[in-house]
Amino acid sequence: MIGIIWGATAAHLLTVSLGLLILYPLRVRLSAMERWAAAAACGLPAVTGLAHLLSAAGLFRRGVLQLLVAVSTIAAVWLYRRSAFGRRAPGEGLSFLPVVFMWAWIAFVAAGPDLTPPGEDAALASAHRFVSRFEAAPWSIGAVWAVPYAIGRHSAAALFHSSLLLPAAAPLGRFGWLAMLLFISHPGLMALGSRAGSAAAFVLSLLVAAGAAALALLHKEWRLTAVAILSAVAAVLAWPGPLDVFPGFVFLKSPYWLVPFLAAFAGWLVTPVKPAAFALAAFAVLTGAPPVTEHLASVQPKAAELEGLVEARFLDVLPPAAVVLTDIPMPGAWTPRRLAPHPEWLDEARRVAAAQWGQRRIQFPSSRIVEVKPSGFIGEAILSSGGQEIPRRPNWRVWPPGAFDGLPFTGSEGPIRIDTGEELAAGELRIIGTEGEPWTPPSGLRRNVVLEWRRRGITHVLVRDPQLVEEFSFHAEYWGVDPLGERNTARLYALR
Amino acid sequence: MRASHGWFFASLLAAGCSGAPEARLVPLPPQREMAAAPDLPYERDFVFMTEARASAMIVRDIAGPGVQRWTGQNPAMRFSLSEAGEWVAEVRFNATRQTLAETGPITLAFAVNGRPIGTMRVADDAVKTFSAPVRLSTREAELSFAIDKPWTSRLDGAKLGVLLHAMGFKRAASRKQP
Repeated sequence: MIGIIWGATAAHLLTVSLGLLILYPLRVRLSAMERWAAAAACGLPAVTGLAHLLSAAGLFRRGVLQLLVAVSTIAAVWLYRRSAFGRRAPGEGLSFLPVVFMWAWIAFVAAGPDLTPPGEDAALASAHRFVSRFEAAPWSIGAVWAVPYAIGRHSAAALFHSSLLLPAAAPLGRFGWLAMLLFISHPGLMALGSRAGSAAAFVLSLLVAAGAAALALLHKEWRLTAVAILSAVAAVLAWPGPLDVFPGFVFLKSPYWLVPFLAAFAGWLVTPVKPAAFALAAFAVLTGAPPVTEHLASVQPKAAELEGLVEARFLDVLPPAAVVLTDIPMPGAWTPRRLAPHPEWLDEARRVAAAQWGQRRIQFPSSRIVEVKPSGFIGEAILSSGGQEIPRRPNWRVWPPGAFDGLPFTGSEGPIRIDTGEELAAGELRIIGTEGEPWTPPSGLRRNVVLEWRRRGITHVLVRDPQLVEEFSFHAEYWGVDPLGERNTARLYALR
Repeated sequence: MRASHGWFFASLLAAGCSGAPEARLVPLPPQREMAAAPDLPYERDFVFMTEARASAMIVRDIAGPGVQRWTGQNPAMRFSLSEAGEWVAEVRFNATRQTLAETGPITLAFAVNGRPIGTMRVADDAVKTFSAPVRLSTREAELSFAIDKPWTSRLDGAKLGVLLHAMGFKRAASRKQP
């Protein structure tokens, strides 16, 4: 939970502090909240550029990001240490209401299981692609999402609501109400809250409605906008039938960095041109009408497009402490369960099932370092001299480590290097792997693969590979696995 | 002032870019003891269908890959044995309830290098093991069986026999092994 909140907070610190650094030489006269809004608007593209730059340099890592957050925050505080906070815009304090609520809600969500509606994961999937070095377009929202994701890891819901739209829009001061009009007071979202059981969205809607009503009473020039917001609320509450669409997708499909700019521009526009408020209210009502929202951003097609989502949700049946090894690509954010970091560990089971074992013997001269470059998989490398096996010693340095652990199914391809730390007499290196003369493995390899996985902390496997599915199904007693269920042709097994 | 800030950030990035060369030698990993556990037996001349080498030994009428592979009407596998002499030919398989429902009980006739070595009647879907002693004059041996009433698809005429688990030759002395 702390990691998630820190991830979101750090991302915002980075965004706002970079924005403040950009704004500093411009010397624009702004109120405190307006400065925050402008900093968010300038900082978002800067964070995107920074994320791409770090990724290209191979530095998009948690530690580097946290260092940059610290440096940019200190630099911004130092630059602005003598600046006055400026005048307060009328009514801007009201915009903190939803912000406070959202942060409390984020903490609540982060403490529990991730119940994000599937479609919302689109942004997280985008972030994951970016973090995983897959292609992400520069204008993709994923580049910004990747920052809190890399720092705070898991949680779709908390990051979605905290990382971009609300905190970027809500503190906009007098402009913030326009962002509210565009986003929070969206009829679809309120309908989702009131009709689909999301208490958080419903409370948020009420806060916005209360804020809008207070604004109408306090400030004459905002009455028109407030009336438009309240009308939108009323229109949604009167809408018949359930909704299964989420209007946030309208923004996910847009260039994300335009949102603060558009909100600021709309705020500026509405003040002198009152009909603009009607136009914006009409926009919100129109795009929030269920058929329109469904057309713009339906949940179902997105869920279907996201490979691995159905299987990730399947893992919810497991206990919270479960660690799952799977061959199905899925972002860790899609499941509250931990995923084993190395899907290639499943190759150990494939190797044992294939039973393609062989051994080779290579002579080596007297030396301290033994190095050979055999082909094929190397499971174990055993040194001997004068017909006697040379016992491995703790001071040896070796490569690959999997070929020196006593388990023939762990290892890799490539060269073998051994530094014994002392001169060895000439001898023989016996390589057990997939090539050479036939080698009969000891009995129990299947069970030992599973026991090794258990040592690494894995409790379950989720596989779709037909070979593994057949092995775990027909030879379950040899592996020591228990079938738990099937979803979307993927089978889930518990490791004994 | 701003120029010095720029250099500061640039030097931070540059410092992060320079890394130590990849270490190719690592300390000896923890040594694992293999736990004793039952498993499928591994024998040079007896092959489970899950094994990678099985595909290379198939002569005809065995689909794959898989732990269990569908046979056609007259499947066969070829083995290069370690030596000629006394062996036990063995085939592990099961018929399926679905095909038996249409064909009724079936009879499998086994042969080595074309010479009959025995038959087995199958009326249920339990796993069966056929084994028979054989004397081979050469190291090359083709183990095959023919099914009298294979299931025939009404759609494309494809014939399905049984689900084959393993087949091959075992030493006469190891006949009792699992």
